Amino acid sequence: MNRRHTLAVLLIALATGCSKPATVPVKPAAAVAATGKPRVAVVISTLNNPWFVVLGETAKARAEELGYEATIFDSQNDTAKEASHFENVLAGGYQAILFNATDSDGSIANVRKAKAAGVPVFCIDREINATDAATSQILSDNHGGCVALGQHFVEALGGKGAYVEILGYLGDNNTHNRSQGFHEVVDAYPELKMVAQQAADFDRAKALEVMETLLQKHGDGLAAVFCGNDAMAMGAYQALAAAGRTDVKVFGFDGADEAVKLIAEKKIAATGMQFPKTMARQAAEYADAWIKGKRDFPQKVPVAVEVVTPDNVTQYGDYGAKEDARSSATK
Amino acid sequence: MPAAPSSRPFVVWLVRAVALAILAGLVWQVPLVRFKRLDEAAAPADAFDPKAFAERFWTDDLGPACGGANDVADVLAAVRRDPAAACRALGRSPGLSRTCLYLVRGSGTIAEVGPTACRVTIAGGQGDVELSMGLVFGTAIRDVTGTIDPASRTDSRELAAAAAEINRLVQERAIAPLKPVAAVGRALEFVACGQVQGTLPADKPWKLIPVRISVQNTPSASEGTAP
Repeated sequence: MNRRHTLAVLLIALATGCSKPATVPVKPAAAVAATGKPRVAVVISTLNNPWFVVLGETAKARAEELGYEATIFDSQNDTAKEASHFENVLAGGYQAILFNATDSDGSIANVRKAKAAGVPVFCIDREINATDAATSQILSDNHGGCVALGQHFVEALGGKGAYVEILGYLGDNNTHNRSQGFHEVVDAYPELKMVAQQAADFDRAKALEVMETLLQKHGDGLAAVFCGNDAMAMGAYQALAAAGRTDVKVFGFDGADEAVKLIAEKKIAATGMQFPKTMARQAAEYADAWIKGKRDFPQKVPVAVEVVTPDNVTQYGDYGAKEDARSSATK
Repeated sequence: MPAAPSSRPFVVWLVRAVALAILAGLVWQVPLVRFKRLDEAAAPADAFDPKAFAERFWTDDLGPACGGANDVADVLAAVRRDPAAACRALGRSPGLSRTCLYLVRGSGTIAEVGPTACRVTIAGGQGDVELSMGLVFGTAIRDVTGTIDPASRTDSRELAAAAAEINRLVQERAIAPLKPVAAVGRALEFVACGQVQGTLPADKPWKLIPVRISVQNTPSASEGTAP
């Protein structure tokens, strides 16, 4: 009897404890919030920039319109915080993640973890350098947008002059794509001289400081500054205005409302409109479709960027174009 | 009998010198630290080759697409009638773009030649178009065929580099042969790429980037390298 008992215990142990771990993880049971609605997470790289606030709020609002309880998580540009958010989201039984990555390479592991847990991730605006992790990536054509912006830059400066470039966060592909697109055009004009290039991490306050320093070193004869986003363009503009250098043309990228207003006032020369609302709505709609059973999504969906200048600024506002068929179709 | 004390330091010195020379030779041949340029160090063996990618695109994608290009007069008429319907029927919008790309073919007569473009009065009515003779930028040519999947590369910077290479081929194979022979009154045939964002301006000719050019009624008729 004792022998049989021991054998049974051994068999059970073999079948459970000693077996290979299951490859398909069990989804947490709490997939429905206290409100009775299924939950969707919106993980955003930083909320310290109005553009990303609009991106996150729009994704949340669209998810709520579609019948979900949506929560925004702020990664504060920190991949460790982002990883912690993913842990919480996966443990919390969220059904999908609308994701604005902090780092094109550093964020891949988080997306893979979610995929392994059976939770789809829809990247918005920022790319991750993997095509087998996210369910879909809805991405601004940063390179193409900055090519167009570069062409306007050349035109506005008459093909000559000294300029400085303020780069974004170096770990993000967008920083490189924007700079590369801009230089693809501008470097073809030998009389346009870049006298300095410095990073300010997409941050307005840092860009203000960087611009102040650059003005001291390279202020004489400076004709323009190209910034990798509008927050930095605003910081640069503040520094230039404080120094009385309103002759220096400021170029940004994003299509932030404040930048568009300053373009209308002819204080900023141009920006690239990225359509954050269009991207965020599309991500929420994809997540809804996935939850309802759809599985075939394009891995990458490019969203064209349009150049906003004083000549066409009346067509733009509220983080998009005033007449945008894509927005009305998805609202 | 022991060696003379005076010759011993010389032998030791000689042995050391030879040993040092051998060591120096070894370090030269098999260095402990090897210096490389940053771009060399960053490029893995299977690195993306934008030039090869552009050449393949030129031959395998753009060439066949040129054969199916729509008539420029038909496209212009359709865009003026209903831009959205024209895009659905005759063009393509990459992703969620508001910009529509068209690959068109046509013939006409050069009406004006400027430093960076020539204006062509096209056969079949619908007014004039402007063929670029300046620098080519952007992703229009890369995206007009619809044959490149944005997800075919994990890093979008690679496809951006490919677009720049494709533009270089356009510059070299379509624009360079056109520039020296472009003259008012000359007839030409072309295949070109055009973009429409919203509607076409009524007062300006449609700007096109040529990808295949054949200029006629000139003693040395020029023809771009067909994609």
